[in-house]
Amino acid sequence: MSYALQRFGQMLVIVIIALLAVFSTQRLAPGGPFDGERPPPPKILENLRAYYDMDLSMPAQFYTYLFGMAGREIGDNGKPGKAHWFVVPSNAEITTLGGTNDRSTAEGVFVRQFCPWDQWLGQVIPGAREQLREQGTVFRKCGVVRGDFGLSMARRSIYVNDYVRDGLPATLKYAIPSLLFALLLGVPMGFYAAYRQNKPADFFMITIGMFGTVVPNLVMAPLLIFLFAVQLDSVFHWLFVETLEWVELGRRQRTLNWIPSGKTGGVMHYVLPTLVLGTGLLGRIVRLSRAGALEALRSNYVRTARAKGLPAHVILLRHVFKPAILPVLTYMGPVTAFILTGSLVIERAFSLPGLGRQFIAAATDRDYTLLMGTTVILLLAIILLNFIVDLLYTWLDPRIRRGGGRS
Amino acid sequence: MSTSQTPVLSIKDLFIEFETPDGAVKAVNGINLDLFKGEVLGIVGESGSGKSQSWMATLGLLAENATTSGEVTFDGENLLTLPPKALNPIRGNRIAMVFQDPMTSLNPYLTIETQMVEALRIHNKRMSKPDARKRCVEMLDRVAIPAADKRLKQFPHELSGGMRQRVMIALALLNDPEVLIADEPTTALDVTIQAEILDILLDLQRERGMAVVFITHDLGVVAEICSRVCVMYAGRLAEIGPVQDVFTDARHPYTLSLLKATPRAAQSQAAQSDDALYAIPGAPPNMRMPPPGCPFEPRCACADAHCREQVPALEPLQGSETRLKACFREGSSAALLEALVHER
Ligand SMILES: Nc1ncnc2c1ncn2[C@@H]1O[C@H](COP(=O)(O)OP(=O)(O)OP(=O)(O)O)[C@@H](O)[C@H]1O
Ligand SMILES: [Mg+2]
Repeated sequence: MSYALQRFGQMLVIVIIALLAVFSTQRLAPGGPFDGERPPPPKILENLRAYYDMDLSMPAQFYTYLFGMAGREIGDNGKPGKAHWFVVPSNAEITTLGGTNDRSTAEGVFVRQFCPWDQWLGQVIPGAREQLREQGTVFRKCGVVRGDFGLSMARRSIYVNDYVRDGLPATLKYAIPSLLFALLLGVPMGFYAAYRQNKPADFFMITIGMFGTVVPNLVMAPLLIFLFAVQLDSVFHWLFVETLEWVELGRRQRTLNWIPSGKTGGVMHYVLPTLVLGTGLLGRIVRLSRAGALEALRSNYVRTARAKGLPAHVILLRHVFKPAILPVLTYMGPVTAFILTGSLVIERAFSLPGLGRQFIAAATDRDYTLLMGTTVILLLAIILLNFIVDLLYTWLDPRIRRGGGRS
Repeated sequence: MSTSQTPVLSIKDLFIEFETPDGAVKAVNGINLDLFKGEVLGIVGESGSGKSQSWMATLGLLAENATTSGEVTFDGENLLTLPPKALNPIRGNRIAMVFQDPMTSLNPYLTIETQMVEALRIHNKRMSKPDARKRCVEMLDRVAIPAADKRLKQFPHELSGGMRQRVMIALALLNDPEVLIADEPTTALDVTIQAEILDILLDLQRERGMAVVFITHDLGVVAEICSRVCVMYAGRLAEIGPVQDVFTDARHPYTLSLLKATPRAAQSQAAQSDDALYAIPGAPPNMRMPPPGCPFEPRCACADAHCREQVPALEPLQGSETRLKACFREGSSAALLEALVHER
């Protein structure tokens, strides 16, 4: 129990430090989200900066980013992209559609019609908040701690939460299969290589594994597109359409496109992205599981198992598997980072939606909120995975399980 | 032990070499030895003399970098060339081994129960799990492990060294083997537990009439429990014979030095003659480049030029069927001792 608490505390500290680091570096770097080639008029700029709290001091900005601000709670009518309300403090200055300045007299709701953002279309309606509540409008909570990453700065009609909601599953759709691919193929390969140490099979396994890891995703993606989506497709075409005449092409169809080179769609669309990312992970996993299995195979307890007359497969599965899988498990933390960097390339190469794409966009557009949001999600993913790894570790290793602490 | 009896296990011209980056290690260099039914054969010798490796070879448990030659005959078959499929029904079933290091010889990731039950069920395919469990409890009781039922559920790290060693012995005896190879089964334990475990082992040995190979450094234990003793030096046999005979009338200078270096072997005349603790001068030869002659020659007080050039063969003593030695030097133990003492 105290161990779990301690771990939770550690995680919290890590998240806060990471947030602070990203937050301050992006803001301290020259340039900002609103100075593009044609900066908005000064009045609008001022509004924008005010909306994003950029008119506050840096520590205050960080505070409001984390915890939100009483007067800036954002309401949502439930239909994203249509109309948004947010509560403004009394006596706040508001620019309305006509370009005139308005001042709220009491705490009220500022109604803003989307888009365009730049025109502050709306008015202060005193007492509207209660009215909206009665209508069943859910007020979006504000601040990262309450799960709100705020509005994107580059595309100011979209919430970062929505980006994440759409992007994370899209990324997971090929990230999880590629991880499974690498594990389900890499671990048996590593074990077999260890079992056949220094024999041709061993070198074969290592070479295959390392090929995937050494060739960068940037090269692997076009290579696999060429091999599968182009060459294999024409072989299929020749075989099934022209020679065997088993398959007929549709009227507008020129290729079979069984293994598509991009875009979303059926399961087959994920074959190539999974292969590219999966082969990238394969080499490490082969090497780690091989090293783990070798160590176990040389151990005294495996010698005992052999002396019992157990056949090789029982020894591998029962006596070698657990200790040999542990180094692979420890690698699962860094895997998340690998998948992220991989996803930057994959989503480009295969025209897939996903977090990686937004990560790049956020960085190039200086989209502070989006960058922070994606960073937090990534951090949480890494932390979660590490936590799961820890649990698996204690489950696999009885010396940790019953001993309490780890030694 | 009469030699007319047929041996259960016989080793012929056993050589073991380990391939290492610094050259081949010639760990065992031609061993000839018979093991008879119901006997307790002690194997003694300095660390590194090849005691463990020569017996591990009989079960095909050598490291990957080992090459062997020779023959180990058991039940009409050469164990060294038997494929794993044919060797597995023998291992742990008809020949069992207790290893030197109890702390690491049990799998830390599996319960004692898993590790014991699998040893039973692999050789008794039709045995049910509850039956196997019951047998394991019986066996643990037999090696005097209290609360055996509870122990089965535990992991090795929850057991003390002495308990683990008992588990190892129980594990080896589960299938009623004909041959038990016990490699320093008590070295890791304190003296009282050591005596207790030896008693248990001997009881079981008598009960079942199995042949036991007892590898140890402790000549006192050999004198107590073994019927024959075999002295190894640098991967060769220096001397074999009934324990009483060898210990009272050693014929190989190395055996004599070993006895002299062991204050606890009370019966030995060597120990009686000199009160100060004796250490054999020099060190065992480098097994990467063994000397051309007798391996003990550089440390031997009785050696001459002949010993430097030729390796003495293991041959029976004159007028004895049961005693063999590998030394050119003839004469009684007393004469050898004379030379040894003189040298000092
Ligand atoms: N895998 C290996 N590679 C190289 N040399 C090895 C290997 N295994 C054992 N040896 C060598 O073989 C020799 C004999 O070892 P062995 O374990 O039989 O000694 P021992 O007589 O049992 O010693 P101890 O009393 O210390 O147990 C030693 O010199 C050892 O260094
Ligand atoms: Mg040994």
